[in-house]
Amino acid sequence: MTRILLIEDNEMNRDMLSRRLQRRGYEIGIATDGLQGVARALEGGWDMILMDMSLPEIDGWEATRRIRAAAPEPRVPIIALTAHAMSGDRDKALEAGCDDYDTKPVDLDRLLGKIVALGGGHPADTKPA
Amino acid sequence: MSADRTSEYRIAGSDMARRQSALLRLSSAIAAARDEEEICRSVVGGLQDEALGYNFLGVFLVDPGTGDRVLIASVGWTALPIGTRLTAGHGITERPIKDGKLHYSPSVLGESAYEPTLNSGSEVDVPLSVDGVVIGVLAVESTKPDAFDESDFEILTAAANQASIAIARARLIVSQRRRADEQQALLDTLADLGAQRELSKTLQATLERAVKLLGVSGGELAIYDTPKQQLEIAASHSVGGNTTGIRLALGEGAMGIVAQSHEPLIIPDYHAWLGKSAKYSHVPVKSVLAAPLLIGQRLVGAIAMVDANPTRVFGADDLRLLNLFTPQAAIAIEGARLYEDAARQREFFRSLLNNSPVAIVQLDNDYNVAACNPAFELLFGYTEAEARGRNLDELITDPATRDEAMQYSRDAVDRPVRGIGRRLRKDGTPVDVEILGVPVIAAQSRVSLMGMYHDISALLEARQEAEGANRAKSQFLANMSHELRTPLNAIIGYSEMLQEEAHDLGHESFVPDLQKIHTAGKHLLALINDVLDLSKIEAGKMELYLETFDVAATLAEVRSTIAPMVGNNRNRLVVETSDDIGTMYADLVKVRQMLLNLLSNACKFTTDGTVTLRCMRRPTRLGDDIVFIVTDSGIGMSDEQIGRLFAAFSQAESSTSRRYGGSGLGLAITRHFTQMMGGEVSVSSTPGEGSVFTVTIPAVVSSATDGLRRPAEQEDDVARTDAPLPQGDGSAGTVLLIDDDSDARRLVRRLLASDGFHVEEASDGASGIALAHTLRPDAIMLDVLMPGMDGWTVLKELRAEPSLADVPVIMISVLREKELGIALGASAYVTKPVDRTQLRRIMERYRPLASDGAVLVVEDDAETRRVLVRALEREGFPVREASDGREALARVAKERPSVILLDLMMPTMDGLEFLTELRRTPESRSIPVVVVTAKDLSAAERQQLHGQVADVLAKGQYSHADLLADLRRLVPSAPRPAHPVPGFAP
Repeated sequence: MTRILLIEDNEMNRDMLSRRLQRRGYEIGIATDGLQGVARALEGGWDMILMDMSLPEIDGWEATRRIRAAAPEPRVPIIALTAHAMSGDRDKALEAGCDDYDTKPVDLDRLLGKIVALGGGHPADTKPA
Repeated sequence: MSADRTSEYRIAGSDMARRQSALLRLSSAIAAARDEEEICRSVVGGLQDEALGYNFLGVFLVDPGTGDRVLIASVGWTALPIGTRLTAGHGITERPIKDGKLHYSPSVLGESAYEPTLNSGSEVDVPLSVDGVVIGVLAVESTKPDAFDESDFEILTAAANQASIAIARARLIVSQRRRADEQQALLDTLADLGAQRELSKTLQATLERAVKLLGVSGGELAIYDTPKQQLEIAASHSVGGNTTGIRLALGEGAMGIVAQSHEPLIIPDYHAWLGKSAKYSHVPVKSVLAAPLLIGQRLVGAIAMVDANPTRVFGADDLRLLNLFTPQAAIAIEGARLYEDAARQREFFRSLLNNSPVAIVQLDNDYNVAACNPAFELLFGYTEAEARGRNLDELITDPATRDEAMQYSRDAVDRPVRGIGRRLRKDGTPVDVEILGVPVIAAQSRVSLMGMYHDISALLEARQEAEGANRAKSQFLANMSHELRTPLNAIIGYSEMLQEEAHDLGHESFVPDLQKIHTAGKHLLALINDVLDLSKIEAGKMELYLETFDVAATLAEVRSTIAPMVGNNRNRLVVETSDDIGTMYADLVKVRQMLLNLLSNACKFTTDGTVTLRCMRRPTRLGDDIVFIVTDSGIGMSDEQIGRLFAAFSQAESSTSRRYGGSGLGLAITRHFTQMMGGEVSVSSTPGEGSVFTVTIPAVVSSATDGLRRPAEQEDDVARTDAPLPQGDGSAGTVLLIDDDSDARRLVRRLLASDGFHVEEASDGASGIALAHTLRPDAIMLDVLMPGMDGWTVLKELRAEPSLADVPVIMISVLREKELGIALGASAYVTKPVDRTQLRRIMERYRPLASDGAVLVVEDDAETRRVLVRALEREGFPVREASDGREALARVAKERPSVILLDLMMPTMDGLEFLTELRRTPESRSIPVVVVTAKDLSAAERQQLHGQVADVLAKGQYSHADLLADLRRLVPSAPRPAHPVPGFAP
């Protein structure tokens, strides 16, 4: 089963996204701030990380940089999630070490497309009985 | 007979003696007579002799005006009073007047012309004549018939001749005296006018002189009140009570009539006259002479002479006399009126000046203060007494603003000038003012300058506050973006998720309601996004993110996104794409947003129709364009609606938003986006038939844009942020570019560098100002909208810095604020998008004089000079020499050096004097100067040099490297060191 670490401080966003992804068969791990996110990411065993960019403690860019620095291999795909639809955000995210970028509010189908594109398996394949 | 004859002889002898003695009496009486009447009385008195039969005698004089005979003196004619007039055709006495001969009537009773008098005997009528003109008649009557003979005729003729001569002489004296009186009266009147006495007094005196000269009993003088069309009596003399103040309408009374007719008028008997005014019913007037007072053809008043005596009949001579006074009286009235008008006008302007809230100052032709108003005193703190005589431009400026102020003064010499500037109060505090300077022209020559200052500190402050508030608003909205979207995320996300769960759990009845929440949430999100987009655009925060994308794929994506909306109004969507459409390099998100905007509009305003999206590639001179055309068969728009279409916050009708929903911002945003990408959007529409929107965007959008209309030379520069920065060789001068937008900087740098300018950049105001100090550029290009210190503030600081005040600053901004920029001291103003030709034309002005890059060494000591020159030449600098300040100035005027090395202590003209002269000329002002001196500089000297020179090196203490570093810093095209050279210290 594909394991996804969701790093998101906003409780509703976290709840919603985790439940919807679980419904599609993903196993979801949770972190609620940047430092916790780095710690959990480094626990290992993740197939994918969904990283909110506006996080307390350290922000998503910093968290991404730390994860990439501490654990360059194996390189877990990170998708940045940001409420800003600013052109610079995408560059900044990719520069920090993210593999893709999506804007909030999340369009689930679009996000799933990106997850699959980064090797996160097809939800249909993983959907529980 | 003989006895008779003897008796006759005796009688004759005695008669002869009596006649002789009568003539003698007459002669001596005439000699004593003082005037005509006395002469006449002497004639009749002297001749009277009963024995001679001269019983009744009378003298008539002819009235030259009427031809009447007027009885002047008589003896024995008790029935005929003095003054009796005999008109033509009456009486025997008329005969000599007609033929100038003596007439004898032996028996008057037999005469046809006889009119019964006391006399019924004989009569002799002798003419009185002067130079052949008959002026009167001497009539001598006897009670006996045929009482006169030749000897009587002789003696009477002699008497008449004597009387005539005497009268002629008397008349001559009278006329001479009268002429003298007239001249005196005239002189008196002129003296009155010259003395500028009170008008009523002048008029009263004039009237009285007229009364005296005409010998009448009284008179009146009236002023014409033009607005009321009335005469008002202003002077009155002996007309039977004071009539001053009486008003007469035009046509009322004698003066009213002459005022109307502009012709004089003589009235023999006023109270019998039909035109009399009731206002004079109590006045005992008989004869009246009235005349209008005129200036040219314009009536200013009227004058009247009156006499209570009915025998005083006015004639031509009276009119002539009166006319001596009418022009003077008219001039007095007119002069007084002009004076009053002028005084009123002076008072008006004085009051305007004193109460004006605008500070007004009047300058003489040397720009010194001649006068100022209270507002000026209040604004600048100088009293008028303190300011008077001072040079205005020195009084209210500081060194930084003096030149600008003097320029205003010079410009105002021949035309009005206006602007905005900062001036200094007496207490040294600055005040921002709007300035208006106007030349005061009188009789085609400039008599003074008028300066007006309106305090706009509060306005500027308010403007800054408003701008600050606007920025705060934009910042707030940008911040709110996150806050607004987060709860919406939850609404949209949970409703979507619950739909899935409801579906999975079989609660199908919940699905439609959840669907509604979901749709409403998404709609709200779209509205919020529009508002935020627009505020971002207006705050200049909207940026382009350019990437290459497949156009057909984007259209497919747009098609699927818009599909639900197409279905809402049962429309059909047709998408047509040409095969060669390929990829474009643009902001994908914005292109998609624009297309969705246009398509959703089309769907909204169309029902049961067709919406078509066509897309094609169109080659142009500057590369391909991608054209998107959205056509609908909807309600269409009128021309007036189209006019308002792209304005923010304006839907075609306010009711439209209620009927069709939406923020109404979509088209405004669309247009901004297309412009940002160097494209355009156009629309054509017919009400009831539908609309066509056409968006044209370059297939390859330039990054350095902000609405730049794709110069051809830009296309190879697209988004290549890592490309090396172009740099000019500095041959055209050095330009400092201050702009926070790196793309804009790169664009301008390319334009300038290719024209030979050496370009240095600063990304914010503070570092820009710092760089300007060290760089001393030939020109500064300055953006207006920058975070932190904005361009206006930077401009003000640059202008306030003496050493930089002369460096031309070219403002470059999307804002159209040219007036403000120039007023604040900018040399030129360029609006973004930058037009290359315009920029080049402007920069041409600031290109320094052709410079050969030479270093000018100004040093009086030949040995020191030689060492310096050799050292510089060794480093590859071209070098020129001068041995004192004057020679140096001459060299600079001929060939502009790139830098000057200046000794301070020199003969003829020392270094400080040289600097002052050098900085005075605009052409040489920007040449950097390095002072090389052995002098121990005083604080005052250092102060004087501060800001004027790039560096001060003390002889014997600086190194070769210091000097070269200075030169390389100051001369962009300086040769670079090929090899290290050991230090030298001249």
